[in-house]
Formats: sequence, structure tokens, C-alpha cells
Amino acid sequence: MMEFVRLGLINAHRNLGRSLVTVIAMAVAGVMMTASLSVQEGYGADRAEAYRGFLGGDILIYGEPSLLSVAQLGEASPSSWRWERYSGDLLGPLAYFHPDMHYRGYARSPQRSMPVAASATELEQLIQVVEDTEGVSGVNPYWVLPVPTLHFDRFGTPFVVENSVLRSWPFHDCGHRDVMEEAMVSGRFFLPEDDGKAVAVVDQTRAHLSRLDVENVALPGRGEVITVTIPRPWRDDHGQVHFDYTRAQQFDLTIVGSYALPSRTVAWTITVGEEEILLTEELYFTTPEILIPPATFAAMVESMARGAGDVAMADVLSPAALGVRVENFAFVERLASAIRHRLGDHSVISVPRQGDLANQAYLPEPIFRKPVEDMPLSRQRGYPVNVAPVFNVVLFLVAALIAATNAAILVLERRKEISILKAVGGTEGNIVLMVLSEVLALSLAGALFGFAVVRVYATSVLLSTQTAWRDILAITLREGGLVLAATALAAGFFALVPALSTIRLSALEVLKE
Amino acid sequence: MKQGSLFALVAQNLRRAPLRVLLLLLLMVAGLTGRTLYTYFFGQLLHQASVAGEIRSLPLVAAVPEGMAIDPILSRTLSRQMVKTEDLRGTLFSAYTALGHREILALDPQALLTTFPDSLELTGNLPATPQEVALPRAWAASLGMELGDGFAISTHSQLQEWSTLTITGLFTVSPEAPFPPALLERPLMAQQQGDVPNIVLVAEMSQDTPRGWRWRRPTTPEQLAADFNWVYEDENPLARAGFWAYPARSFAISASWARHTTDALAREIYEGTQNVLALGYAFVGLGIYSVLIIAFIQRRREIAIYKTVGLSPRQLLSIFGLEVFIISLTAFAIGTACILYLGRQVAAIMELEGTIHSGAIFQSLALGTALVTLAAAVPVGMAVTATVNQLLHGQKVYLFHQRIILSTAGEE
Repeated sequence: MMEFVRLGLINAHRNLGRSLVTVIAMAVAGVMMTASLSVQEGYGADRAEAYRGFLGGDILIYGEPSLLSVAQLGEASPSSWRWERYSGDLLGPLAYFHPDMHYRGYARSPQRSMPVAASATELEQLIQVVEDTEGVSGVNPYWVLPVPTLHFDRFGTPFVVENSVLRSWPFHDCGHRDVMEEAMVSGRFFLPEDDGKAVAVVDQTRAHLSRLDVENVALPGRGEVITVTIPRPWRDDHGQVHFDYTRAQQFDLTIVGSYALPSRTVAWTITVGEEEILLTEELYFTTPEILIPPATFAAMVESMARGAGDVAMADVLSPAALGVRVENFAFVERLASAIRHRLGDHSVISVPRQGDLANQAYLPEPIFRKPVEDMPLSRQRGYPVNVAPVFNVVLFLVAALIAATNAAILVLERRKEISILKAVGGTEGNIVLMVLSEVLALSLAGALFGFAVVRVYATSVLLSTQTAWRDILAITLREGGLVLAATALAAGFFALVPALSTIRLSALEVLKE
Repeated sequence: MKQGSLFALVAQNLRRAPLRVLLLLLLMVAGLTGRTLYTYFFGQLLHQASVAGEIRSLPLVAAVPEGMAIDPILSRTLSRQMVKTEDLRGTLFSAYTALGHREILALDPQALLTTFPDSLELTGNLPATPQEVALPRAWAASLGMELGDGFAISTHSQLQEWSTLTITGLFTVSPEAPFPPALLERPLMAQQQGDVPNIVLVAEMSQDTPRGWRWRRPTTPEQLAADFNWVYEDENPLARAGFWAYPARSFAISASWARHTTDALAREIYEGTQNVLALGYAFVGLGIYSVLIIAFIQRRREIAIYKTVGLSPRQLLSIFGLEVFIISLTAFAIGTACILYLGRQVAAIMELEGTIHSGAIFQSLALGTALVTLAAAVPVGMAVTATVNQLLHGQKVYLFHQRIILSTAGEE
């Protein structure tokens, strides 16, 4: 029997051209399947690091339908879709990555609630559901409050800065504290003992906006005391959060440091004479946020809450978003998908993907030097369905069809040889085995090659996220097994037809021809 | 060879190879049905799903940022599109309230009631003076306010200079209102001197086409909305300030905005399936090619005999071309029946109406014909160009070039 397997392999070598076609087809299928299993699941450790560090999470969860999934689109019922325009205070990541939702409007189904959570209990349950997802290491609610004005004095001159945002920085539970520490340009970032104190950190790059005629502000610096005016947050009976500006309060904060957060670099070329010169510009993620410690933020909110007694922050305020930290960034897309399925109503998106969508509309950073002519507006997006499994299946079918066609041609062209083998004692099973072994050998070789090419890159991504070698090996074996099994199944099934056609060949008839 | 004999030969060839015919039929039917059902029918169903929620709306609702006059932009837009309108203009501005930093709409209340009667379910009256306000019922309920209560607003960012407006009316936007509820579900005030109109609600639009322009197609509300945005952006280019630039944006929506939006979202959600469809086509084409190339190899002797008895390349092309054509025609008939049947089943499951336009089927037929022609070109071409020697002795068949022997004396 092994002789016939060896014959099949020799035949494969003899018909190199045809064999190569099968190998290439299976290699392509192997590449695509491995890419969908490995590469599309996540990213290297430094991808969108600035965004993740600032936002306090690797995945964002919004209450608003900034990103509609196929399940949400299917909520079709009479009058189900409405044009809405966010007429209130738009705060948090949505304001930076999807500002168009506020100014141009979006489509919404009235059944969906708007805040991330309509009550403290709901928020707790939501966080629990997310934390129970395997691979999630923590959840950071993105707590923010609007600051219509902040005042500070400098050498006796009063200054006013309008339209800022106060944000609770989750420095107890943030995996990317080093990003913010490296971004400090004066003073210092928060220390653990700052929690509960009236200290703040501000964005220095906001002052650069005057170059684009957006606003002309003098910003407070290290050591200066700012007085922020904050409206009182409250929830109505439907769980909607509102800000009561008629009962605003003022709080003093001392600036301990200011930062400038570089987020990405853009490049373009200019032509000088006959020479093309490459220019680059580093962009900074400039926001109106004033960062303060979480206990300080909670104390402010609770002191402003309506009524007396023990009021928790989540009773009167809903986070603008939830930032989810993951254990291994190499699987962040898979986790985002899992969370999306569990939550249903919320918009869930990984930070790298959110950044990519925003960057397409030249968001969120201001651009000062790079010439920009055509600036598409941001808009509500639909989250593509995952067609990778179906695509992989069809791709394997195509590759298997190529393999089977080659096998059929092989059988037709070597009828005499096959008949001679039968005449000298080869059984039908042996002949079928010979054909199958040739096809399977070529297919598996191609798939293995395709798998290896992608796997090398995917392994580098895993190494960058400090995945243990044991886990990398387990993943490699698992995915390799899947790819090879799919290859063997597809190629083996399709190659059966030409292989079994050899059974009909009779030595006498063929040799007569 | 007579035509009748040609058809008889083709019919005989098809009868002799039922498996090959069946395989080709299956592949072609799958390609035709899949493409039609996916591209048109599925798209239509998604469209219907979004239309099911279509809002009734005015031809155009448009606004520019607070403090900017809408008239120049609107005039230029209407002039470009040669449109006249009956519209209502107002002022949309932001103010600090007990419910947040919200937009308030100031307009002529009588004009609102006259232009859009029955658009509001009103208790009380619309404001007649700048010291009065009508609130959406939901707002009043959240605040625990009633008619006659005071509603405080401030347009000063430092929260100074508060005005207390008397609530004269509570309203809900009627479901029959011609504009999106979100537009009017905000405090309504009377316009006062100095207000700069920055929002327009177009009640009716009519084409004002001068003589000589009669051939021009009427402007649709969608075009008007798109043109408004274009005119605004032309005069106010989007600053490169990231999200900081967005407060300076305009907005304009037409009646079908929601439908277009959900259509676009549906396409984006299902964009990956186009790749699967393309790959499916590759599978169908490859399958047809495989069946035909194997048939060519199996029928080498038959083709050699045809050439030996004197059939010309054109006649051979007719025979094989006719075989493929008959199978394709049969596949089209079966495929159309499958489309009509399956389409109704899928529509019934989705509780929508399933109508297949003939144009969709014929477009798929055209694409399918191109695919079959491409897939059959090589095998049929090889059958036509191969010589008897090449066919009988299993030599290579050259489609595009042949070896030329220059000399019979052993030299080339």
C-alpha cells in the first residue's frame, strides 16, 4: 500500500506545473483562513496606544447607536427608524470620534435607550456582564461632567476658558498609565495619594487651536488654581441624565501638571523643482478635558446630588462610555465581538477600529500643516457582519475544485499507466489511494505553506503582547490543525470523484485503444 | 453540414453525457439564482425594511450654526437648483437650562400653526412674546413643571443673566407632523428683534424652470439637501481642527433621509458579502471550466473524427457553442423558476413583499452569459484549434501560437 502512496508522490513531482497550481490554490486558501483566525483577532501591543492610554480601555462601549450591528438594523417595525439630533451635552469619546452625530443627526430606533445605563443597578449589571467575558481584565466607566466655564487668575488678571469637560481619570485601574506619564510636559501626572484631593491635569495642546481660528484661550499651568463651574447632574424617571445649569456649583482645583499626547503621524509629499520631499506632522489628541482623580470626581458629584442622604454617583450620572481593558491585546477584536453579542443594544468597538474609522474623516486630532483638500464628514457607521467563515469555506471549495480538476486531468492522461498497474496486480483501492495521496499531499503542502507565512506574522503580534510561549504553541497547533483539517476535508472530498473514476477503468479496454 | 444535422448531433451529444449536462446545469443555476437573489432581492428586502420606518418629512429642513444667517446659503442653493419654496424660518440657538445645554427654537408661532396645522398637540398657547415659552411635555414632566411655571434659561456661558420664561403651552409633536419629531421637541419661543434666522423648514417646493431649460429634470428634495450642504461647505470649508470644527457645520435633511441612511448602513453592514459573492462566481466559473476541459479531454477522439470527416472550425464552434447555449438556456429557465419560488419563500419569512423585477433577472443573465463565455472559451477554443495529430496522440494544444516548421530538410 505504501508503494502506491510513494507512486502518488512521484507523480506529483513529475507533473510539476500542474502540481504547482494545486499548491498555490491551497496556499491562498490557507493564508486567508489563517488570517481570519489569527491576524484579524487583534493587534500588536503598540497599536493605537495613545488612544487606549488616554481613553482608559482597549474597547469602548457606547449607549448611543454610533455603530449599528446587523441585529440592531433588523429591528424593523413600523416607524422604527427616526432622525435624531443629539441636542444635549455630547461628552466623552463619542464627541471626539463621532461628532457628526451631534451636529448632523443619526438614525435611531426609539426602543433603544440612550445612556450607557439607565440606573446604578443597570450599570453594575452591565459592568458585571462585561467583566464576566473571558479575556476581560477590567472595566473603566468614562465619567465626565460639562464645565461651561473655568476661571483662573494670573498676576491679577482673570482668565476664562469656556466649554471644557471634567473627567474622572481611572488611575487605579488603568493599564496604560505610562502613556500619560510620558505625555507630561510640565509638572507631574497623578500619584496614588492624589485620590480625593482637589488636583487636576490639563491638556496643553489646546492652546494651539488658535492657529486654526477655533478658539483663543490662555490655559492654566502648573501650580495655578482654577475654579470650575459644574452643573448638577440628575436623572429623570426614565433614567435619562440631565445637567441642571440653574444649580451649578463651583469647585477649586490645583493644576499639578499639563500634558501633550501625540497620537499618530501623518505624511505627505511636496515637489520642489524635480525633487519629491516627504514631510511628516505629528498629531496630538487635543481634548477639552480636565483630568481629576476618581475619588475627587465622585465627591464632587455626590455633593451636588439632589436631596439628602447617601447618594451614589451612578444614581445621578451615567458614564459617557465604558472602557474595557483586555488581558491580551492580540485578541481584542474577538473579545469586542463577544461583548457585542452579549450586550445587543450597545455599540461596542475596539479602540484601534474606532480610531481607524475616525481617522478616515480626519478625526479626532486637529491637523496644522498637512494640506487637506477633501475632508469627508464622520457619520453613523454600520458594523460589517463577519463573513470570514463563509468566505473561508467558499475559498477552500474553489481551491479544492482546482485540485480536483487537476486530479481528473491526471487520471485521464494516465489511463494507460493506471491500467498497467491494474494489470500487474494493483487493486482498485490502491489506485484510488495513489490518486488521493497525490492530491492530498499537494493540498496539505500548499495549505501548510500558507499557514506558516501568516503564522509567522501572527506570532510576532503575540510576542509583542507578551503572550507566553506555551500559549503561542497551543494557538499555533490549534489553528494549524483547523487549517489542515479543512484542507484535507475539502481536497479529499473533491478528489474522490476523479479517484473513484479510476475504478471504471479496465486494463483491457484502455490497452486496446 | 446541414443545420438540421447540426442540431441532431448536438442533441445526441447532450443525451450521451447526462452527468456532464447535469453538473453544468447545477453550476449555472446556482450562479444565476445566487446572484439575483443576493444582489437585487436581498437588497430590496433591506430597502423595504428601512422604508417600513420611513419618516414623513418636509422636502427640506436645514440649519446653519447659531449666529450665522441662513438666507445667503439658502438663496444660492435655490438659485442653483431653480427652485422656489414656501418655508418657515426661525432661529435655533443654544441655552443653558435645568435640562442641560440644549437647543431652543424661536420662530413665528402663528406662522408655524398656519404653515403646519395640526403638527402639534398643544395644551395652552404657543408663546406670543419673548418672555414666554412652550415646552415639550416630556421636558415638563421631567422637570415637574406645569403651565404658568417659570422656565429659566441663560445664553451666557458663565451662567449669568438668567431669563425666566413663563410656560404658556405644553405640546407633543403629532405623529402626523411632516417634520422629524426630534426637530421640534425642544422649547419653542417667539422670535424677537435681532434674532438671526439660521434654520428653515421648507413646506413646499416648486421648480422654477426658465424657458429653454424644460429638458432639465426636476430637483428632488435629496438633491436640494445635498446642494445646501455643498453650498455651505463651499463657502465655509471644514476647518482642519478635528472634532473641534464640527460646531461650525450645517445640516440639511430631506424626507427620505432616514431611508437613505439605513440603506447606506445596510450596505456597509453587508459589504463583506460582496466578496463572498465574487468568490462564489469564481467557483461557478471554475466549475464550468473544469467540466468542459475534462469533457474536451474525454472527447478527443470524437473531435478528431469530426475534423477527419471534414467539419470546419466554424462548424465545430457551432456544435460546442450550441451545446453550451442549450444548457445555458435551460439553466436560465430553471434558475428563473428557482428565483421566483425561493424569493417568495424568503420574503414570507421576512414578512415583506417579494417582487423580482425582470431587469434584475436579465442583468444576472448578462453577467452569467459573460461568465459562461469566459469559462467555456478555453476548452472550446482548444477543441476548435487542435489538430488531429494533437488530439489522437495526446500532444499539447496551442491556443495562440503554433510551431512552424520552416524546412522539410531537418532544419527549423
